[in-house]
Amino acid sequence: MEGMNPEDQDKKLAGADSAPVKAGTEAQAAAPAPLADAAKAAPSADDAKAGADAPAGGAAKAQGGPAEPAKTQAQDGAKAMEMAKSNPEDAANKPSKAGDRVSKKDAAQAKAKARETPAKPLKKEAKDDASKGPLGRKEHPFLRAIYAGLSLAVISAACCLIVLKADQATSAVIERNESEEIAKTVSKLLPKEAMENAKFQCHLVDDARVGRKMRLYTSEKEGIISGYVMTYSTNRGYAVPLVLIAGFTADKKVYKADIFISHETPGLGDKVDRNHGDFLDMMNGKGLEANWDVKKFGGDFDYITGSTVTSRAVVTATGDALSALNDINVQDLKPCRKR
Amino acid sequence: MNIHDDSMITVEGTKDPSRKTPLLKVFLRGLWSENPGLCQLLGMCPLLAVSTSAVSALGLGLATLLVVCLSSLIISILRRFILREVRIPLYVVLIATLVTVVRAYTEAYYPDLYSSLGIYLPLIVTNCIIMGRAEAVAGRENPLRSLLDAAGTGLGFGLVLFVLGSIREILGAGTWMAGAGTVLGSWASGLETVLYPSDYTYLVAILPPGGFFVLALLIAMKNAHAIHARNRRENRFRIDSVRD
Repeated sequence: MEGMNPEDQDKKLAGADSAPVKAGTEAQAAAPAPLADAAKAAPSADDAKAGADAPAGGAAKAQGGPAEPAKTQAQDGAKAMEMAKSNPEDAANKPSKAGDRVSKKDAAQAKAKARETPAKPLKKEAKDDASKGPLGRKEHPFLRAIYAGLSLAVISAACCLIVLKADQATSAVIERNESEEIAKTVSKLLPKEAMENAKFQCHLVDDARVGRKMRLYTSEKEGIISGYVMTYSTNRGYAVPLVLIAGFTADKKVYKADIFISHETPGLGDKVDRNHGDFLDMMNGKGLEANWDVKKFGGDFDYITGSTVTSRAVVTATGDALSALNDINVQDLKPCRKR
Repeated sequence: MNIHDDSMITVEGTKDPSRKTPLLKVFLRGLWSENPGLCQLLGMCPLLAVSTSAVSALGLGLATLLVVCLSSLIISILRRFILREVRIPLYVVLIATLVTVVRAYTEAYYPDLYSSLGIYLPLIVTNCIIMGRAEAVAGRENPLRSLLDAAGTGLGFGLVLFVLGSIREILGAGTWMAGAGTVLGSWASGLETVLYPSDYTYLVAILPPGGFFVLALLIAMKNAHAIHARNRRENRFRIDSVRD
């Protein structure tokens, strides 16, 4: 469409000669009609779409060149009309859209009007072009590339700013949420007397029995540790990660255990958690001297029908965590890093 | 040439370009006739993964609705300044920004919802519904139409998500809206209902295959309705004596 040669266009214009005067009184229709015909002449509707939709004024190109196309086109239109006047039969024979209805007189009228107001169609064309693309009609591929890069950069920078702002606005709340969450969990898992006036400290535990980057919170009262809360993970469940958290008393017995992160099968494996029963309370008060396995495997603990694997995972993991806690020297541990 | 575009080109035998789809239809087609969950089958990954409970499904539906509306509105406002060649990276940057902001605010003010959605909240970025709306509508239409279209589509997706989550939760866990109080805020705790004891649940509905089963049933029902409506429409023009 863009590569259409001038003769072809002239022909098109001649063919469309009557289209401008379809409206008869509206001379400014002279501009759009040849365009319409050109669009029709395109091999497929899609092609026409590509030409007209291109944001850089594809329509302008279709008119034969970027340099003031509307003006030249208006002249072309006038020329075409003159041609039509000189051989009206030819014009009538052309299979134009609305050509049959147009009389010669109308054509002359329109021609006169087109001469009077050549700027009108030009203006409309220009406006339409502006709406097609951000660069207007006079554009160079290089300019287009620079515009593309600039628009990307500007929008990305703005987006970056927005993200930073949002992060700034919410980070304090998120941090508070996290510390509240930890305080809530810890307060559930330790006896009251171990919590009162206690100072909490967080340590990182890396041990084969409990997993990497697990956390150990100690509550200290006047330099003496009054309780531990530790997270520990296991891979004996159905789905990893299965992370548990338990509070231990100062003499290293389980005070209370809970599920921290679990992706166990809903309806089966999640029967062990506290929403579905008190299975985990079975371990309360047990120390390392207990036989940390389920009864089926010679241990001390029951298991839930339908979730034997998860029950056993929870029990053995707690036993491992206890043995790890007994071996750990709290002074050797690294403190938790602040996020 | 986009037929919805303001253009003076008229081609015979095509739709009148000045006649646009009515605004109500723009909104409703996303809800029903072009529903992303049941017809376009877009966004299946979060649809199946998060719909194990009605509450998390509702949460993700609302987050998606918010992101698709905002992204469509912004892209539609910026569409005149966006070159065709770089539109995809720009859309991605804009959508990713929106999702990051929504994620940050969800994490700050709805921490329980955030932990129950897990990875699927940041994954809204890759939800093809949002990209599809940006490509198909927001890059071409004016802000009002884009917003309505996005709202319809987002609402359609959210509703499918919520219905799927409700059915799966009722069949698989015997509850409805369990955990609404902690996830959505204390006002929602009245919605939590226990329908029957968990011993009689149909567990497979909550497991991954159940997601496919229930979704397939929903799609089949939608298609059955569409076929029924079409048959009725066609039969209206038939002459009774000719009908076999």
